[in-house]
Amino acid sequence: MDVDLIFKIAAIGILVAVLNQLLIRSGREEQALMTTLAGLVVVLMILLREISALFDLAKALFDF
Amino acid sequence: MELIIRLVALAVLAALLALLLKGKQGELGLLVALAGLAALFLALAEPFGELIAFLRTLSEGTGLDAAVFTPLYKILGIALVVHLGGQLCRDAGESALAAGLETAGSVCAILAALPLLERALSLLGELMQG
Amino acid sequence: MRYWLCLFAALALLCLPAGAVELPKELTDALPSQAERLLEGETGDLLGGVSALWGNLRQEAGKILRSRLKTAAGVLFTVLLCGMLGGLRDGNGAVPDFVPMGGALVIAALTASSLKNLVGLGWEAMEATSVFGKALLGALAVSLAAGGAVQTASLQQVGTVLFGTFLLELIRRLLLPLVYLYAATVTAAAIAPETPLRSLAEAIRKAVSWALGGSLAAFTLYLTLTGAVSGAADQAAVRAAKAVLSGTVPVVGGILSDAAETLLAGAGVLRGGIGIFGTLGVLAICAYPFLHLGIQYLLYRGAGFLAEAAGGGPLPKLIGGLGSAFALVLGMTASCAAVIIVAIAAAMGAAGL
Repeated sequence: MDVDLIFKIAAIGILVAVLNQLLIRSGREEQALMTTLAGLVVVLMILLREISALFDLAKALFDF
Repeated sequence: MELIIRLVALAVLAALLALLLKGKQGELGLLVALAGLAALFLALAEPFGELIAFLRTLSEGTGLDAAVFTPLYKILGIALVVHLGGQLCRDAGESALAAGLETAGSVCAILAALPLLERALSLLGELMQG
Repeated sequence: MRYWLCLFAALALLCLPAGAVELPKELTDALPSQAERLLEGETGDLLGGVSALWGNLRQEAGKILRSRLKTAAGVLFTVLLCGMLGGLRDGNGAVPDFVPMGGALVIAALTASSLKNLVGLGWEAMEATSVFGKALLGALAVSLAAGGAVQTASLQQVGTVLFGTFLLELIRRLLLPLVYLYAATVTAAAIAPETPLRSLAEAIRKAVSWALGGSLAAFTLYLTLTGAVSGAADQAAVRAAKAVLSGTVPVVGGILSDAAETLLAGAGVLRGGIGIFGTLGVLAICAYPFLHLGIQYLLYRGAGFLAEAAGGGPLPKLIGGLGSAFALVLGMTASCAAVIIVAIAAAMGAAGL
């Protein structure tokens, strides 16, 4: 389950990279930029969930 | 033993994938590294919990005021988080950010240590008068 | 205890040829009850008394060790925690290391309360020693005067009382606050290792040691000047002064054994009644604080070594420094005891025994 997270994000990253290359090659650079941004946002949302889970865990462990 | 092997595999995998993305999509590469970190710590959660429980019984066994140790735990957490975060910033090439983060970490640590400082100062005052 | 003392005194009156060896009531009253308990089983001579004392102490020692162990364990636990993040500390940048700072504060907080306790314990013992000593010297002077050495007796008695009071005041007003200052400085030095706080702390420690040792030496000098202090008492006192100067605990035991030795060498059986009771009394009063302080000091030293082995940083030195603070208090208590014991020895010497 932990590996899944990494795979998920890496997969999104590779997808975005490939899309980027395609779009740049075909001359649509603004859309390439938007894809990158979209990828970033998606990944960040996933990560945020995980990190907040981490923080809750830490709080529970240490009773902050 | 098998836990650490799993963790090492996890970390190396994340590093590889991050490297893969670094060329074309550096930003996502960094995020992969961050994801790797998160996965690492999530995987550590259970053994860490056992460790904390053990430490807690230790500190209770010393019969001392457990509240004394809470600021210390906080400071340790701050140190860990700041160090990792700083390294991530450096990996992204922002050493200025990293330095700023470390300074912020010191400030937060001092804040966390404030109750301890107050206690020490009040004890000192008592002692000096008595 | 009182019963036995009176019985002993009566027996002494019967068996011993000269002088009044009856232990005056003020003397026995001046001995605090805890010390009396420790002297249970005393057989009336020095060796017997010391062994009875030791036997009773041994039972207490286990309890003391266990209670003192708690603080030391807490300290070690802190070092362990801070050491866990030790690997991170090949740090970047000139940001001060706040993990050792937190650890230092925690250790200081842990130590502070036991320092307060033990200083209180030591101070009680010092005051009790002084009260007991005054009564003792009064009794000694009376018997000395009866034996003919009036001048010496009164000079020594007055001198010792004055000196004892002076020492107590010195300790209360100057030296004890200095010990607290030392503890605080050592903590600050651990938090900010680059500043010269460490040398300041060392200077304070040396000053306290020197003050104690110097006072003892001055006292011995006074006694030597005012009367016939036998060579053995002289040497013992000088050794005592040296021991306090060097400030190491194991030698404190040496002070006591030297003092006991002096009494053995100098005192006969006669006048031994008061002298022996006096020495035993002082020992009994100080025994409990000695044990506490000594054990605490040793535990902190041990913890310091372990901390050093577990990884360096400023924490092991902090622990060692705090241990020295305990040693200083021990030295103070020992000095007060030494003053009375040396005075007893001098009185024996003056009485020509």
